[in-house]
Amino acid sequence: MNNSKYRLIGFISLPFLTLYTSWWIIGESFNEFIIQVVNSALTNLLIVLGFATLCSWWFCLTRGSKIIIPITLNTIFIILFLISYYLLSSEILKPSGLNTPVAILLNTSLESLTLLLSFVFVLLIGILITKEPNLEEE
Amino acid sequence: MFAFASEPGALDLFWFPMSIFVLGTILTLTRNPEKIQKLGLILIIIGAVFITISPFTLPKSPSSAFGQLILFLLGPSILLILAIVMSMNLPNTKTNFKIRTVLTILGLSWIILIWIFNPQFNNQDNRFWLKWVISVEIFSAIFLFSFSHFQTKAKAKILFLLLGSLVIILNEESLNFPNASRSQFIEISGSIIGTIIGLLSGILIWFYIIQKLHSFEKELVMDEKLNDNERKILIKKLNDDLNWLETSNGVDTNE
Repeated sequence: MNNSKYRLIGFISLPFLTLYTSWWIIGESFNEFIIQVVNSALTNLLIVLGFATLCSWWFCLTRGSKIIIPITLNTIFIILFLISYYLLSSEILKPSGLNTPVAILLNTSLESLTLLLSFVFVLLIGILITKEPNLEEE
Repeated sequence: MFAFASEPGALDLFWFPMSIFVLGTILTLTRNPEKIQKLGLILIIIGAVFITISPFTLPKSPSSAFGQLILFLLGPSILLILAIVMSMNLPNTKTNFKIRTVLTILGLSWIILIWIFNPQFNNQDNRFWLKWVISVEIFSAIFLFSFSHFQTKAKAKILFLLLGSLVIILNEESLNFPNASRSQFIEISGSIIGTIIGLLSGILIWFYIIQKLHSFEKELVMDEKLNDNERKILIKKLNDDLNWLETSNGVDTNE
């Protein structure tokens, strides 16, 4: 990455970091932050690999692509699922109100969908605002 | 509808439609014949309808709060999409511009009204709605800060920076804005960072595996000369391809 990209990331992060620092100084808890980062990262990793596995099985069964790809992806998915299951069983990574790893994964996947919806909504608004009106005569 | 249990529960009325939705998305987004893609679209619609009506079919389930969120967003999203479709397909006359502006204002006012009245689910704030609102604020702030970064004029730079800062300050509890919550803001920032990390690492693993498995395939070895049998097969295949090109005019309707 060149300097301009670093500068952009710094420029975007600075207001957020200022806000978090001020909240941290007045004693706001940041425990849930780490829990959410780990839960969301694991859940989305599983979602992408689950999607990839389903797609590769579909291509294998309908298009005759090599069976080694879905089998490999499936194996990795199962291994990562077991690791996630083990990690999410620990008390440290449990968000409040959720007890089982499956419940955490399902809840986080719905949260990720909510984030996706909000991103799409902001994009829609962005398209509407940035589209310049070149008025024509009626 | 098919029921896994004697009395349909969250599995039948929420997660099964969700899996149908995912299956439909796979069929629609991947390169498939047109019929299969249409089938995928039908599956997406069926899944989405069942998820949307889940607050009525499963009023006690916590997952139905997500259905309620979709239900609330349906109206404003349709208005905004209509405004975008109008701006792309119709000429930019004054009348069309006015209709577009009315649609946009209606859509945004609808969202703001929901935000003020704070939707409830099972006598509690709908947590998915809260997460949606705060993530909209975070994404808007990110967009505004990046706009600000790329502005050349100092006044425009400061304006976008102030707007972005105002959007994130909406979550400061001491200012008494509706739905303001510091802890939710911190949680959702974590979710956004985690989601980006998870998605990127998932895509990297997927591409790396496919690339690695393809690299194990043996490369084709070219013979010096074709024998008579191979020559016949090749000429036949080339002829078939030429005939297909002539009849279909070079357009593959299945892709």
